[in-house]
Amino acid sequence: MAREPHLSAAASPAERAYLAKSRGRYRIACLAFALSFLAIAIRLVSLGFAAVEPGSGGIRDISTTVHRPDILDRNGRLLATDIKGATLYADPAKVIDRDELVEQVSSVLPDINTGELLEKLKQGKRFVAIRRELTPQQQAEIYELGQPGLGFIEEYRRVYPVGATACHVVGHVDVDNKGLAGIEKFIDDNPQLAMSAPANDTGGEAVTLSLDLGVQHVVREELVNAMSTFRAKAAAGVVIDVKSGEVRALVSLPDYDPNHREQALDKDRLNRMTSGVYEMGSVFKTLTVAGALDAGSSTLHSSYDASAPIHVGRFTIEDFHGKKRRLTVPEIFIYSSNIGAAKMALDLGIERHKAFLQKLGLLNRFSTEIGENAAPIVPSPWVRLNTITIAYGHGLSVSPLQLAAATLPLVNGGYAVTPTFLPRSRTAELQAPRVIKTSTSQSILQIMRLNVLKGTGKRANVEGYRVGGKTGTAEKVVGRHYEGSALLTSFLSVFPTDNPEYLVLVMLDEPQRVAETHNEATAGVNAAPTVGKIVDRIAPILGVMPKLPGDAHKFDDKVLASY
Amino acid sequence: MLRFINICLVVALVALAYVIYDGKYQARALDEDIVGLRKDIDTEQDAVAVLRAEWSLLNRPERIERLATKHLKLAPARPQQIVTLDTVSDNDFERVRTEAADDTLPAASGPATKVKSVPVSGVAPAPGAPANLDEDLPASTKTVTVKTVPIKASPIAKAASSAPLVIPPPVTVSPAGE
Repeated sequence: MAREPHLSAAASPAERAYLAKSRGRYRIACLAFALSFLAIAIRLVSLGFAAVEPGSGGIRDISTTVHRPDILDRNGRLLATDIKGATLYADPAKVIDRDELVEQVSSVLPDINTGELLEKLKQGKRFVAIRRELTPQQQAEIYELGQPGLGFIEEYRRVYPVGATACHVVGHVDVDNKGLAGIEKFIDDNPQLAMSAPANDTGGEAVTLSLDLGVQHVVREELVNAMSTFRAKAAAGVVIDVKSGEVRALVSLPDYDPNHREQALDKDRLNRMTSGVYEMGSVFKTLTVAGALDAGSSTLHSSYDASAPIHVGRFTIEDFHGKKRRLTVPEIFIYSSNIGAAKMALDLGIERHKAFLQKLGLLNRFSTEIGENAAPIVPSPWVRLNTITIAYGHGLSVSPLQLAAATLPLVNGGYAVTPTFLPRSRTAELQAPRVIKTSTSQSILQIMRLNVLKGTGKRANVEGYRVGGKTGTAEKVVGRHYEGSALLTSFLSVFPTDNPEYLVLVMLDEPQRVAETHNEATAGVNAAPTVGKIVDRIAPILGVMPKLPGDAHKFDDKVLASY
Repeated sequence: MLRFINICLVVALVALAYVIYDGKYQARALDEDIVGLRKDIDTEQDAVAVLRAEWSLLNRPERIERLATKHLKLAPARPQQIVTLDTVSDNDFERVRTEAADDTLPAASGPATKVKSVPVSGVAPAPGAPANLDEDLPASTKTVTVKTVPIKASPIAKAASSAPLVIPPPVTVSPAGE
């Protein structure tokens, strides 16, 4: 583009004019080339920066099921995980010879319905699923067939290695790996849960629960034993940390194996701890006494005349373990006097009684991570008779877990801690609202311990672990009457009573009078000993230190004796 | 002169083109490697998931409990057997140690060295049972015949046993790997 003086010197005026004109064109052409090269360069650079799509090497991975986080117990033991399996499908548009394909596939999978498959292939859809959850070996064999119309989809499949042991808490998933019940459903509703949790050792996501698999197993096993010993229809049990509200174990029998999800449809296998409401019986006296002591309408030294039944309308309130005399408050509790409890509740007053139960959350539906509990059945209107019967646990139906939750403040010093299935620190109680006085809580612990030492709960006593508790024997409503032979027995307990750590609630549905219990069927002979056996086994797992009188804890031969 | 420059430029152009194509092909090969490695990692992770599920299946509390009652002479710990270290004086410890040593071979020099020889072959004691310090443990371990317990009707076991799990050589996870 330099000026060309030698040309201009020799050129004629016409040429000069021509050159002057073409110089402009020459510049425009140069500019056009420069611009287009610049454009190409920019495009190249931008392509260079663009991310290469992963997996573009021709390997297809069309997965239809979602990958779920693992579920672990508090000690990192696996409760649920995903493993991969292949699903075989056919694309009819690519199939060359249908009959040959069906024949070859059935040589690997002999149990498929060949006629039906042939029919589906003829319909001309683009996707015919043949078999889910192939084993790697079957997959390899089908791959060897070399049929063009066949393909595989890698799918995740949920497995529950511990089977039925924790089924009601963990829940289960549907065929597309979506959570249907329990924590599985909670995870789907709260995806942030898995993301915030620390990854497991394979780098996948994991959700840790408050459950302890060891405790869960013991509770389940003891309940299975109790169900067969006392020939009960059903049983349920829960262990809760009273300070943090963490549920350490929750069992409801009969249960199901979440690996066979169709079992969960059976109505009989529902979670009785949360989905059933029951009139819990005398365990409610714990609440009645707590309400009366907290409001100051009674003290531990108050006494009530329990010698004669109470008549209200056409109802007569009597005592099962009748003493026919004046009873003090601890006596009412340990002899489980209906008359005494009713009189205490009346002393407290109908409104205050109701308000106290409301404060403990017994009159409203409550929910946990494993779903909403069944709503309590609250009498309306709430009259004097209701207060009398609710004082000893009839006339108000609640789910057992709700009762356990309401009892937590009674035994942890007065803090309304809510039960949770996720890990929580024990300092949580300090943030929870205080609903009753510490002194009331102390008194309740004393009389619960007294009941196990001297009252109806004797069989729950366990060497070293200071169990305290209250029995409950309720007659079930069959048709329109209370049926004396259909009982619901329960034992609400806490250990160790000098510094409460865990609450244990066990419930047996229709235990029978059997020889082992001297033809009795009350809670004192079936639910109480079941709790005793459970506490005896779980206390060492939970790290509760035993205390024995004297120097039984000496380091000597006895310590080494059983090895 | 001009021709020389032009020749140089053409040569440079050809060389540059070669370098670029070479780089490009190397990059593509690396991309393919990445895809392959990702797939391998996926396969390994799937295999690990299966193994973890199986580990958990084999460590179910009820199975361990059954094996422990069958093969081990252990009983659940009684409250009398639980002591804290601060309640144990040196005298107590020495006394029990010498008593224990008297009962056994002179070679055995106390419970502390015994702990090493506890190859209870993968079977953990029952929940709550403390570590085994038994004097005649070597003898008892001989009687322990660890059978491979057939697991029935579990989907994982089925998947794991019917499939020789296409697991290439064991995963060697080294922290220093790239």
